[in-house]
Amino acid sequence: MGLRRLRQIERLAFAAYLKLATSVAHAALFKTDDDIEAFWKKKDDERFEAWGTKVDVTAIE
Amino acid sequence: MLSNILPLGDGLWVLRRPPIQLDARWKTWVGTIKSKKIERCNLFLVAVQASDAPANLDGENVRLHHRVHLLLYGLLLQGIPDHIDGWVFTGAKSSTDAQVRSLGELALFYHSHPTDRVLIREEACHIAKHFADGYGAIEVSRDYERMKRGMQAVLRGMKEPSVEERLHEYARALEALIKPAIGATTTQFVHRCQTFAVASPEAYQIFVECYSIRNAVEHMHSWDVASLEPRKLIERQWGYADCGRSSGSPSLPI
Repeated sequence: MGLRRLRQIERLAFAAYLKLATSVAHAALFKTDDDIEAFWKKKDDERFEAWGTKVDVTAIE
Repeated sequence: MLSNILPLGDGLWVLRRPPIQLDARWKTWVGTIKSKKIERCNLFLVAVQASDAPANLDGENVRLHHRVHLLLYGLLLQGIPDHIDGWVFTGAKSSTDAQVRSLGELALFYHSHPTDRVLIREEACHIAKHFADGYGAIEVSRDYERMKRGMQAVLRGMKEPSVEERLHEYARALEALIKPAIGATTTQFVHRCQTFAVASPEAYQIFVECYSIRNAVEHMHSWDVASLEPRKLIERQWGYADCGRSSGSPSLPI
């Protein structure tokens, strides 16, 4: 269980940072503390659209 | 499949064979065992640039050293292979010969026992180059402070042999982006992780457990204590422990 949780959180963190470094638009969402606050204040559907493709952590064994 | 020579542009290359041969003097310096290990390496990441002062071990070497590491990090973010044993060379190539100026061992990077073998393909190398360019620009910016701290946590995690400490660093890397409010850290971590991940009751439970392990490590508790925390937390919040698996379970907030 512990290793599976590790693989799941690892994949999520790696995917997030890879996306941020390879997409100027995504990086801009986290440029400053104010940008970060604004991103998390968005409605769920707006935030999901801004972030785009998600990782299915439940599929990671 | 990776070709023998893959140019990525801007002086970055991925090779399957060494770009230079170690001469007898260097083989003596590094020792027989290590030089044989180096000869057995099957992946070489190379950063080059025209030098103003090829005779000096200077800032150009430092910049190239860093750039090749960014390329490596871009590869590792796509999956850490099951065995990395590497070396870092810097040097200069004149019209007559190539000279090694420094040799160091690559840091150890720990994989998390992935169920599928990690293979390095050309597409992954191009993505890694994209990462090196993008993160290189972020690094020199005066902004992106939380992102930079989060990336440092990712790198610490990759180099951390302890499973729970590694999980702790990866959770902190996500926390850098999530920026949970004091007093609502667990709730917001779990909720906001489901912006990056497909939301579901099972995902909710995964993030509750991960954050509890992160907290246990942060506060010097044992792994066993951490593994008990999620059940307590879910029971407190939902009245039962097996959240998302029982039929008719309430929909969990995301």
